[in-house]
Amino acid sequence: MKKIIIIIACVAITLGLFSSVFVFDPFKLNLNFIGRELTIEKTTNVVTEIKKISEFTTACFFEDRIIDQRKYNYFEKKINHKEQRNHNLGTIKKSAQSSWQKLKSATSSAIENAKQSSDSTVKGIAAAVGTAAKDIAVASGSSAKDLATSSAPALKDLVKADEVVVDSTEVGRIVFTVTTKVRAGYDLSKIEQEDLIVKGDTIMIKLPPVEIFDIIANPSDWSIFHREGNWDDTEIRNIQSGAKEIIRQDAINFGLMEKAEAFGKESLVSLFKTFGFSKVVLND
Amino acid sequence: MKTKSLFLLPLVALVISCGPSQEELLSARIQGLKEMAELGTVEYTVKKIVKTDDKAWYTYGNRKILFTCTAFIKAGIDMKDFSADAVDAKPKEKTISVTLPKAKILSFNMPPEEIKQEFAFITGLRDKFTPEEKQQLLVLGENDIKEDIPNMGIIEDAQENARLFFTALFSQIGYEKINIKFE
Repeated sequence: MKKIIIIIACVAITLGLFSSVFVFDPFKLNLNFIGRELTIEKTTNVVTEIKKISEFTTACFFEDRIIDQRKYNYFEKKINHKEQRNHNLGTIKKSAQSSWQKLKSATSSAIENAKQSSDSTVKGIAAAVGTAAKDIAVASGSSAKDLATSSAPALKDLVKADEVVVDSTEVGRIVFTVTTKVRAGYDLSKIEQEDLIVKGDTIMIKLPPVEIFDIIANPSDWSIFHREGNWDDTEIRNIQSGAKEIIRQDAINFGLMEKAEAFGKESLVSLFKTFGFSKVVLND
Repeated sequence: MKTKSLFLLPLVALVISCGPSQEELLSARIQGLKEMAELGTVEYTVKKIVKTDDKAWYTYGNRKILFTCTAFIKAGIDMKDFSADAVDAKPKEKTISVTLPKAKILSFNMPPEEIKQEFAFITGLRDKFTPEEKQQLLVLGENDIKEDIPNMGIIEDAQENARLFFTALFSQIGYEKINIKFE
């Protein structure tokens, strides 16, 4: 009896654990969908508009395409130039010190040279002082020039303000595969009465330009192949709507319009011949 | 967690080694062109509410979602099925008799820009609807509209409009007695 109670308790505990994992899904295993699929409630399909059309579709472009979209998070990044400024200040200081040392030694040597002058006449002393003054002036000019040259780049950076730049990081990626159809042809409702001339067994028709009627990519034509990050419904619709423009361009580049025109003219000629005309002239 | 990773590692390695590279995948594109001769004569605009209340006895909490969507359905005559034998034209007597193929659905278009998520409600420990689940629900909505097409009367309208179109065309090109039939 005790053994049976233990077995029942074990079974109950196991079932309890299993159902709590199933209900609470703590490991996000999406267990809610085990054994069942999503369903929709029955709602009415309401016909809101009935439009009379006369679209003669003459060519259809098919494409299986991959749409890869990435999502970025944009943020402002501050570039601080303080460190660079401090470094440059040091460079300028070193250049100034070196120039000052050079000037000091040039002045000392000029004074020394003047002192050692053997000519003790007034004229001789004046000449020696003049030479020394000239040497000091030359050395001073050279030092100033050196200082200006060596510190110019550093001075330029010194006035640079801190910058704010826009940077980005990838926060999501979604890859769709889509099967599309692009239908093109002639809108025959655009043919006016004067565009159609009958002379005996000859018919002349002025055709409107070929146009794209539909770019078809229904929900069942889309499949999410890969997804990273969170994508809301508006973002997904925007990607899918944007993809239609890419597909339209693909169709045009593939020669849909030219093919639709050629096939269309061929079909219309053969159609009007079956209606009893021996000559069919189509103009753009 | 460690055990799970150990189990997943060889599987991931296998997928990486067997699957196409990202570059190969992104350059993949299959294109084609088909010659057609379809005369669309009617377009129906159909609006639908796609909704689900995803609740079961074993789930803690509820989640609901509601979309509105629009589909454009075109129907008409596939002139590829039309042959010269189906025309009996007597230009001198100004009489023409044409047997057209039966109208059919030519296109079904449920564009993404006409789909809008109107409402979503999640409670308890339920997860949000993933984009894959939303896509799945919209496919169900699409299929529901497609299944309902035969009850809409679009084929009859397409045939009637085709009759009007050809009658106008034949009278414009000089026929006076016009007879249009459908197979």
